[in-house]
Amino acid sequence: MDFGIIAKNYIVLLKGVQVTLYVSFFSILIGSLCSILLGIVFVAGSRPVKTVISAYIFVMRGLPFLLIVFVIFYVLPFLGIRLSAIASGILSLTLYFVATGTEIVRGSIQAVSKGQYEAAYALGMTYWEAMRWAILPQALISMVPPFMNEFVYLLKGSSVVSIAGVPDLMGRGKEIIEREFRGFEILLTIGVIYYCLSVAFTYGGKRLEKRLAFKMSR
Amino acid sequence: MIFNYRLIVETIPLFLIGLYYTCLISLVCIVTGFITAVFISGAMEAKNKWVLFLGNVYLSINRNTPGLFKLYFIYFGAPALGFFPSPLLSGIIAITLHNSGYMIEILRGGYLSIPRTQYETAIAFGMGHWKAIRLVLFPQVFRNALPAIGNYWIDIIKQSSLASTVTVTEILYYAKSLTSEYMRPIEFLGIAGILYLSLTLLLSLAIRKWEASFRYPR
Repeated sequence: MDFGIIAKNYIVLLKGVQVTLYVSFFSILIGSLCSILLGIVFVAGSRPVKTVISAYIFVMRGLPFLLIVFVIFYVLPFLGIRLSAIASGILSLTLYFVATGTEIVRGSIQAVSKGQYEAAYALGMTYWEAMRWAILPQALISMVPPFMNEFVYLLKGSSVVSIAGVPDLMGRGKEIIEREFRGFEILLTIGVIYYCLSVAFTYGGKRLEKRLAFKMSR
Repeated sequence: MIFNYRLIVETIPLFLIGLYYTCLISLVCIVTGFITAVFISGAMEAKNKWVLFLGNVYLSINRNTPGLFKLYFIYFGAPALGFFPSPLLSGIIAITLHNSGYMIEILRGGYLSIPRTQYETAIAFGMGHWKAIRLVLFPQVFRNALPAIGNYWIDIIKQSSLASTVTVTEILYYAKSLTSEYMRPIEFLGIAGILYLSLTLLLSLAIRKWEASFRYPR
């Protein structure tokens, strides 16, 4: 068991961490915005709109994430779109994330009681004014805890995009293993890194929850 | 884009082998993951300091590390410890470990929702800890927890696709290698997608029927 191998390769691993955080950050950013939009469109939309969005969610949640990564990776070049590995990784993560994100947004908007709508209409607001001033502020605060959970889930799921060639932490680790034929020490290090990242995000999420709960209780 | 039906018909046998392995991995992981989760959460109910500590360590490690990482760790890293798992065995162990963490959380939440007096009464009747769990607590916990645990069973079907990266010959393995060979991603990834959607749909319908059987007739 030779742990010196970590000292030789730690820069490569740190570059991998950088890519992992980069990919996760952009997927979370774009994914959250899109899910909030889609959630609002779903709640306010007509039947056909609801059917289309439900179909999208059904497909994305019924297929393995690895399959979606392969579809983006192999099918897009056929359609003429050439993306870099990192861009297609971010795209697949975002597509997968938006499915669960839209469910969360839909749930929290529908959890706001109907009385709020009635009060807003009684004050003379239109549907969209009621949404903007009354419903959404409440919904947005209640959707933060589930979203934080999903963010941590996405950070761990981002390791799968390494299979499509994204040089993230898992991908770099695999490269090192294939080059040096020593799996155990590198993998242990990678595991510790993922563990620390995940625990840090979870802890940050819990603190954010506490602060928001304080705000809500006013 | 013309679908090459002849090619699809020729490769059906491969997809049937893949379907067999996917179902095999999913079923074994559902059963072993659930049994492990039941035992560990039952043991943690005893409120023994050491059991709780070990259980929390197990939970923490399994919930904060990616599934793909666990797979690589067992397949590439375990040989350094003298244990040489086959691809199939590493897939099964990794997916079981990964999901048992989440299932334990759900079961513990279920145990929390049952008043402690039930357990204390059972012990007062002379039942041992495990008898109390088996006869009194667990039936109630299972009925409450089934929807949430069912979600993770469906997740297991999707995670079995990860095993294809360590050369387990399941659906996605054949889909990927056939795509690389014939450069026809739409046909092969499409078949894989349809197969996975059918499996997840079937399982979720079965779980919903099981949930319905717990409800009292009105």
